[in-house]
Amino acid sequence: MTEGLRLQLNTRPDAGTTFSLDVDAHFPNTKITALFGPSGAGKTTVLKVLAGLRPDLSATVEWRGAKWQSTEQFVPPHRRTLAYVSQQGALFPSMSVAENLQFASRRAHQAIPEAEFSPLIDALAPAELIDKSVAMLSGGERQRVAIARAALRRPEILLLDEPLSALDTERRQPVLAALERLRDSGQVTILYVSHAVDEVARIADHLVLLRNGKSEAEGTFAMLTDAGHVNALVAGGRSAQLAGTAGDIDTRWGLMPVDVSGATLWLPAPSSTGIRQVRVHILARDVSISLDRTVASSILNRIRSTVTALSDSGDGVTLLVSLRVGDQSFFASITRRSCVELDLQPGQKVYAQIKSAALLP
Amino acid sequence: MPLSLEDVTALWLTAKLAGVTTGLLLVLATPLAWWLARSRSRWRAPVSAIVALPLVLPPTVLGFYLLVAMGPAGPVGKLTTWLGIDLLPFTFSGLVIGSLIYSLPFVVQPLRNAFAAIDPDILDAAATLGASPLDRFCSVALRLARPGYLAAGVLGFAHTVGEFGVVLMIGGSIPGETRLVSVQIYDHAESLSFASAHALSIVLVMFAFIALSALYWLGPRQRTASVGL
Repeated sequence: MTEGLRLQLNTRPDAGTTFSLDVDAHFPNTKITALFGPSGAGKTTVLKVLAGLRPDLSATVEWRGAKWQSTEQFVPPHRRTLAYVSQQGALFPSMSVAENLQFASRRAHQAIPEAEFSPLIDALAPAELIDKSVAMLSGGERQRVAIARAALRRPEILLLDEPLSALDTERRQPVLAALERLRDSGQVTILYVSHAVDEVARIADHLVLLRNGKSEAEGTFAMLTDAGHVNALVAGGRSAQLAGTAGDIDTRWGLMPVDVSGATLWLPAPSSTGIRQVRVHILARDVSISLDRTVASSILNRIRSTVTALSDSGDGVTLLVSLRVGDQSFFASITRRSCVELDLQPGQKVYAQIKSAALLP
Repeated sequence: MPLSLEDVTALWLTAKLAGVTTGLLLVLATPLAWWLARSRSRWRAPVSAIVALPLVLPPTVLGFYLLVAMGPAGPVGKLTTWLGIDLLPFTFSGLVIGSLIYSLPFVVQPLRNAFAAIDPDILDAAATLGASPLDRFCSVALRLARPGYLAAGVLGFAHTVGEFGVVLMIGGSIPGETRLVSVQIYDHAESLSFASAHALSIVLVMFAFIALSALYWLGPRQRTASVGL
């Protein structure tokens, strides 16, 4: 695994950090990797080390086989072919939005064509803000300008620290779609720090799980979900994602059909269209079970699925039901009482009811 | 009573000295202030103390040691003799050197405060956008420190105009060469020509008032940081 970005980081509390870090992580080339974990896990420190902003920490950073940082050498941040967007954006307060953007474009790397980054910059729409002074921008506007500025640097690696935290939901979708398109161009490696599981589930090809300064696990979202790593971090318990193909949007209701292993899920239509392959993230608490299809209910999505396992969630009240549709699995969280009343058994065919409003493509 | 030709010469000489000193100090104090603002070295405390010494020492002490150092037996005097330059005491160049030391803290401190106030995340952002350390300093830090430079310039200039003890020790009172306004006022008062002393003094009072007003007016946010020495 020499392709991509590799990090080994080992610090003790006395080395200028308040806690120890023990991270060994790999970020695959030209993929989106999410650095995921509770706050205080060390995610921002990891990004700063990769960016070259922590020469004081003993770390080994390797990019496509070349050493950027080790005990013998240190490539300073301005010579690393990356761009880093910090959580606050760190715009230059003495400059206008236009000057902030020019600062990056004047110092752009030339290796990757400018065109690869234009969909992302368009989605962020910094042009609307170009005449404003930085002091006049709202939190969301600052974030948009900061990401656009990083994109204008034309980096090989884009390091994003909670990039969408200040954006409203409407804005997030096109930015996520643009990041996916940037990834699909096959030239840019994206590292995405987030604690929003729906964002991570949607865009991350690879996950690195950080907890208490340690890299606990690494792999795809499905791998980490199956291994039980992700659910512990998610409010609302266990979750899963289903891959599907989106159909044409029903403009009358603002819903988009997604075909998941032959079953159809209706989702709130995203504002950007043209995404065909989607991953639908489903929290176990948003899924209920009925034996009958014909129950009158406000729930749109009823998927015929098979119970594969029943497991105790440990709180004495709820059970986790593992369900299968086609070759994909997801989960429902139900009370033990419901389980007895419905007399659920592994192998049984049931209808899983999923609230559309809880789904995000 | 209007100003005499000698008074005008003294005013002009004072302005020249303050201008040259402030210009040089803004350049020389910049790396020092940057280091003091950002370094974590254990030498920071003693260096800060040395920079601040002229604030607490009687100017005559400073002047006395400068006189000794620049005199024929002093290290600076030997150096200037060896270089083929005349001895510095009682010359304009000697005054410039004395003023540089005397006004140093008044220029370093506002710059140091201005540099320390720059959010390190902003310099980090500039670094990850491809700016080298020098580029970062010139295109980001200098712009953000502009109010600090304004305060440093005004304070350095005004403080140099007001010096007396150092000047008297190392400059004496040679008209057109070392006789500054403060010395001229002293001479007027000594010879009991109070009207002349008053005319010059009121010019200095007006100047100080205008300079400080400009400082408070133009840099409201920097006020406490820069004047609070």
